[in-house]
Amino acid sequence: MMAKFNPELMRGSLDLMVLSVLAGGPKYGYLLQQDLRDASRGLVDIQAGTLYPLLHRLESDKLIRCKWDDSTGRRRKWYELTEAGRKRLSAQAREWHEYAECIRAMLGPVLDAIPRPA
Amino acid sequence: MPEQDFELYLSLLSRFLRLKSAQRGEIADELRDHLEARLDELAARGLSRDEAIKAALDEFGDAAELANHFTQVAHIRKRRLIMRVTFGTVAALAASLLIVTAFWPEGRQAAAPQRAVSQESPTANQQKRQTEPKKAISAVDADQDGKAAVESKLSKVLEKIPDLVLDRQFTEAIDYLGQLLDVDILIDQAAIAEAEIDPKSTVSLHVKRTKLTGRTALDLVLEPLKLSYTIRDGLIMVTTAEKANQIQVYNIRDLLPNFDEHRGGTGAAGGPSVSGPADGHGNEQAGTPAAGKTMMSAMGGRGGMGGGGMGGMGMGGGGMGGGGMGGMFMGGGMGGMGRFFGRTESLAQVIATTIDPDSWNFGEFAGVGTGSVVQYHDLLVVKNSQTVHAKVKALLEMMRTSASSPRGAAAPGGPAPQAR
Repeated sequence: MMAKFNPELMRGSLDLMVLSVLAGGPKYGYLLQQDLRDASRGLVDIQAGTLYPLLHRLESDKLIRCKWDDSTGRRRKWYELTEAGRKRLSAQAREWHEYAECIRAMLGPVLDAIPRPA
Repeated sequence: MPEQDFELYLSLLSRFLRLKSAQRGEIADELRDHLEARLDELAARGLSRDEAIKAALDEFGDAAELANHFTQVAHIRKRRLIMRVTFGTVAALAASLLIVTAFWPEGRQAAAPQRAVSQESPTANQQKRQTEPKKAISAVDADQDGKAAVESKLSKVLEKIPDLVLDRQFTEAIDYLGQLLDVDILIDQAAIAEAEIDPKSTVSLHVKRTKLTGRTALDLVLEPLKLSYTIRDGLIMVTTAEKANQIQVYNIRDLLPNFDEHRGGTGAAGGPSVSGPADGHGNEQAGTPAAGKTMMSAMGGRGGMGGGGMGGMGMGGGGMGGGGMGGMFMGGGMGGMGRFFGRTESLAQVIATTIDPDSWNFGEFAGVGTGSVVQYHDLLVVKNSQTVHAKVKALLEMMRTSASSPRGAAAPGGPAPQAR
């Protein structure tokens, strides 16, 4: 299995990943963390210490909103996308796709020169 | 033991969180929910409760760092709000100053306002400022340099002791911290006695798995005792929070533009009557983005005002008229003052909300900090720590500089914010 991505590499795209997972429906922090891991086949594993400040920032940017659920006996904070968050997601998804394509094209020749790991 | 570790972690975190208690409570609830969910999963995988707690805590990372992230997010939000409210006010202040300087007769030397009281700057410094504004700025820098060595020691992470365990008498604990930080820490015995703290009382501090900076370690020891410290002459003086705050009086006469008076063309006694032509309005608008920009750089990053901010001021360059309209308001009388009153109140607000907001006992942060800012006619009486004073000084200088920079030099483009 491939090693987890370097956090430095993921820095610019974490927001987008979180928004994209939330596009699948409201989630609380822990669930979101797991879904991110699953959606990335284990390659993206955000630590709680990174995830929560990030969620709070997205919330203060009004890209996501929260709702408290007290029904389970334990207070749980659920997050969901706002309309602005949805817009941001679709705009950035396109941009990132093009960026990834660009990197891929640039790195193609380099990768061809390296023997693939068995 | 690990059973209590999480509660300890949360209480440590909330102590570091410089937020209102409701916000702190929500963050604690959210993290507690996460931890419980994680523990359930780890237990299902066969980890013992103790192992699970330890593993889960490691995933949260350093409490101080996490708290810092949360606090930053909250403050960015707060600042953004404040920007919206006060931007216009600051812009108006700067713009009207700009108008006055624009119409100031060429070659006429403006007298800089004297600061009424200043504990830090000797008079010589003040006089220098009248003729060499840039040098005066670097003098302020030098002022900070004296503290820089101590500050940098305080900012270092105590790498050698991941677990800080203190169970000592107060004075010994302070000595021990001094050794760790490699800096002399003196105790203001009189202040300690006044605060009725027994120097022989025991200080207990157990911090585990958290990388502390010297500053945080010192805060953790001093805060529960309601003590604080000041830095002077390369050493740290432990004293009461009250005493650590210094009172300084700023003359803001030159930042109290008589916007209304000049526009109304009434003019105040003792100064040149300035009445702008019709396009004067356009000029103020042009000036405002520059003012806004400077404010922005002042707000960027916590505590970033020291070096960076000063550099920016130098760039503002040009004839920094020293805010020389002092004389203009001398005979203004109460009627005039009354009109400015509202605006200076908002200057106090600008200061309290943009510079270390939680160090003040003011507005939304009432009861959070101990600093105060009161406006008395054209004087601003500020009580706060040395660090905050340095930033206040820089902010006022910046407002003066941006207001007096040549109007042509105002940043091009950008939407002109509402001046009033």
